[in-house]
Amino acid sequence: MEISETLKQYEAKDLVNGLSEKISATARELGKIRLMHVCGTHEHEIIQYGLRQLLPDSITIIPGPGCPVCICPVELIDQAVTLSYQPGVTVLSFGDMLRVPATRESLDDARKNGGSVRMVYGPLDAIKIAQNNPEEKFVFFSIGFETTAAGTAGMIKKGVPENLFFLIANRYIPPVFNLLMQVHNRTSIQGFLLPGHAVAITGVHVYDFVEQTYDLPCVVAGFTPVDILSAIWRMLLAIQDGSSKTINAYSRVVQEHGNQTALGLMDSVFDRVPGVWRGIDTVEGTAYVLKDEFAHLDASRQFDCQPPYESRANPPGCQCHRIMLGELLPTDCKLFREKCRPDDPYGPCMVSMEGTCHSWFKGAADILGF
Amino acid sequence: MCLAIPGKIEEIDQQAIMRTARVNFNGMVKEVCIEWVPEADVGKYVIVHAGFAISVLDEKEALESLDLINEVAQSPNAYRKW
Ligand code: SF4
Repeated sequence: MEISETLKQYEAKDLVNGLSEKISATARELGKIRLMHVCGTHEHEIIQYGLRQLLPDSITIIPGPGCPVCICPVELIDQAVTLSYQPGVTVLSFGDMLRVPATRESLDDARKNGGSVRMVYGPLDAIKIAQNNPEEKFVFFSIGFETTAAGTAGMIKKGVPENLFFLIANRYIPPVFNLLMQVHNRTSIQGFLLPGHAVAITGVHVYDFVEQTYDLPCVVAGFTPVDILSAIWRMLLAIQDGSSKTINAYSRVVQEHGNQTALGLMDSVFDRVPGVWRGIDTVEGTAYVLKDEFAHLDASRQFDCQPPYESRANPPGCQCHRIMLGELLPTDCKLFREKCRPDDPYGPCMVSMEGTCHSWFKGAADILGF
Repeated sequence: MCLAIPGKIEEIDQQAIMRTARVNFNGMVKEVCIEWVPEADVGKYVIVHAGFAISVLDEKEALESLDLINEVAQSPNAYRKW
């Protein structure tokens, strides 16, 4: 078979249906199963393809803290906003990030109110803009998990224009399982689906502690419907066997030891320190920060970016933090669909396609037609 | 968002400071940095995140995993394969 044909098969309907039947048959012997994923794209695909409807009632898939703009600490967005008002400084970031509500203003609001903010598609764009405008200063607001941290690290290592600085808000996923297991236990969660592309960077074994500490299985999952269902199927088999080993169900992309080139670059550019996950908590070892030798590129050390007000993580009434912990669902929030909608997001989880509230709004809109 | 589909490398730009390539995603061609995947080459498929290739598709694994999934999904007797 041609490789392009093989790849198409990962979306094939008959495989989706076949897997769904197998999952139902196996689930009958297992009682209630609650699995959590920690990836905004997983939630998006699960809603988009109606995968929950293909699972038996006994299996619950809980969305976790996997949306990069949602967990980005408000303190850092407030700093980016503050920077945007400094004369001669332009803040560059991804489109989604610009719309995320912060304490007083989003970056988009700041732009409308006289701040200098520009959208970019990625760090490479930021380099081009800085090169083309040598007399101005630019700050790339780097957000996201391992996957985007790798790009930023590599770029810094290669060398960037002198007028380009970085405000780093990147987060490292694995330790967040320790936080999740403070609010959950083996009754409320029986396993975790791991975000395939983040694991493509780190490798599979950085998650072995979940087995060792919590005795829960993890399965690395890709992003097509066949990938997600086959990961769930592998998880059920592990649960049936009483095994908590970390399983790689996305081996066409994820190598056991990850991307060593990217890991090497990240190690040489970043340290990891305790990091805030917006509205949730501070988690040991999750915040990437620039090493001292790159202090000259670090916007937080080169500019005064403290806002003249105190940061506040959650807009009153917004339940994002509890949704990201898997304690509540978007439909538990009184503001969902009423005060908070994708065209006018009130809380951070309604902004990006990776936000759980955004996915649920779009999914419900398709089904209910609002 | 994580892009589920890999793209095929059509051409590598040797001149660029960072190794970049033209990558075709089902007909849409994008410029992608392939600096962190040294094994990338013309004709191979890469997984891309925010403009950077993070992994080269392992075609053998793609085929083998699919065979297993096919067997599980389509034959009632292949109850467990993994
Ligand atoms: S619906 Fe809006 S306000 Fe409610 S939790 Fe989601 S993002 Fe927050």
